[in-house]
Amino acid sequence: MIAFMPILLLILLVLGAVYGGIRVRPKMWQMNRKMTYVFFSAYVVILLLATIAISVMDKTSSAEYPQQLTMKEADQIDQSLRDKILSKDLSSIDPSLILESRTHPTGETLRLKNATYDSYDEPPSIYIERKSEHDDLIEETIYKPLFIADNLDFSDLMGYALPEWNRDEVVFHSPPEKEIVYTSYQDAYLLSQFTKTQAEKRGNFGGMSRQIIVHLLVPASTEIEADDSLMISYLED
Amino acid sequence: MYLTEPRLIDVVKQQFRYKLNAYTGVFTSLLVMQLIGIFISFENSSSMGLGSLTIIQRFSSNDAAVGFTLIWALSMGILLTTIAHRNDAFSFVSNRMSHHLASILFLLSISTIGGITASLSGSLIQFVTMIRNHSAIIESAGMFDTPYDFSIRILTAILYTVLFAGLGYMIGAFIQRSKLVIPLILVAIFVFPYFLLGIGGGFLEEVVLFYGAETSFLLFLLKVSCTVAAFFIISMAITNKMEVRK
Repeated sequence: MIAFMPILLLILLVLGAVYGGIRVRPKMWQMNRKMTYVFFSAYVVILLLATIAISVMDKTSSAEYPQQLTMKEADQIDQSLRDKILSKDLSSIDPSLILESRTHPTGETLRLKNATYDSYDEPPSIYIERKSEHDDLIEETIYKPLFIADNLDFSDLMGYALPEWNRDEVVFHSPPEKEIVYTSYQDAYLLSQFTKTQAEKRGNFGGMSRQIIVHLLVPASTEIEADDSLMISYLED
Repeated sequence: MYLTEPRLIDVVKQQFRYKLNAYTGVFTSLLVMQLIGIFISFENSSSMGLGSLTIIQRFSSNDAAVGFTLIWALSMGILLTTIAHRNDAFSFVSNRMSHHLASILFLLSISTIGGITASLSGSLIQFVTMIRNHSAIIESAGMFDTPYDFSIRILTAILYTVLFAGLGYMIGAFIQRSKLVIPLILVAIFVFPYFLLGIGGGFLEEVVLFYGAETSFLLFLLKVSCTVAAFFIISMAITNKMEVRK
């Protein structure tokens, strides 16, 4: 009962104001020409102030946001990366695409296991290259996934799962649960007809992949056993 | 013999000033329509799920404000042809030509104001979006960053508003000639072209593409100017034989 007291007081206050207002019977307020111009002028001034304010705010308080990247450009980057891996030209790969470089000791056998649990999450792309040295060391290079939504590059916000190494076994997991929320503003489609910022990209969801690309440099003497569900490409000499 | 012979341009100016002073309701309705458009423009959201990934996009735009402004322009064009507004012409020593010219000038003026405010309404939506979300992605060039784009957007808004106002004026003129025109217009736009021309989507789609698919602003300006001129000439021709006053 006590919890409802503020609401009851508010209702009583409103009823009292209405009753008091009825008793006084004020003259009905009407929108005349002067008031119309006042309201409309105020509206126009607010719009002009907002226009000036956003022009200044763009420069001084623009928050970090994903870079613009079209699907076509992302596709070119991804294809170039894979081509360079396939042609063993790793030194020319953009370092910003590399997530991690690790080395792991290995024995006679290397087992690759797929632990992706969601049917929508594909396993990572794995490229295995043999090296002539018998140093019992596997060199692992992990490349970041490229994900584009609305022509914005969310690759750095995706979250990823590094392969888990345990002696002679490496397990590839599903990427972690991730929710990306972003707010955007675009001009009206009609008004963007002749400007460079076209609204064609609106609603263009999708991307290359959420999964990492893994390059493994494995000693020639190591035997490899892999789950059939893994996507593995063997780089030939 | 007249001591003072009124010139057409003076009569038109007089009637135009009268309409600007008398028809203040158009500004009220413009304000209301744009405010409604602004309020419903905020943060429409859509989401997509891809396995373990969920992307939620909160999206703002001034599409609604611009759309409502175009509807407002169409209705104002129709309203200006109604009997009440036509009878206002008899407050002055005028003829039908001066009445039309004054109405056209009035329509062009309010359409210009409507187009400018529709374009600027995006700034208000943008401002509120940036205040509420510090990490908002703004895909609109500012007034000082790209003044050319900014100006083009305003001019585009004005041209579309004028186009709709002219269309409304012509439709209103047809309706005033005969109320039977209303169902005929609906049939002419939606039914006949679809069946006779055999174009998927109909005549309406072709018209929309004629203006909406234009990439050159100068060509677009020419198209709209010619179309609006045609609308007004047709309106004047249609109402030429109407009764002076019922």
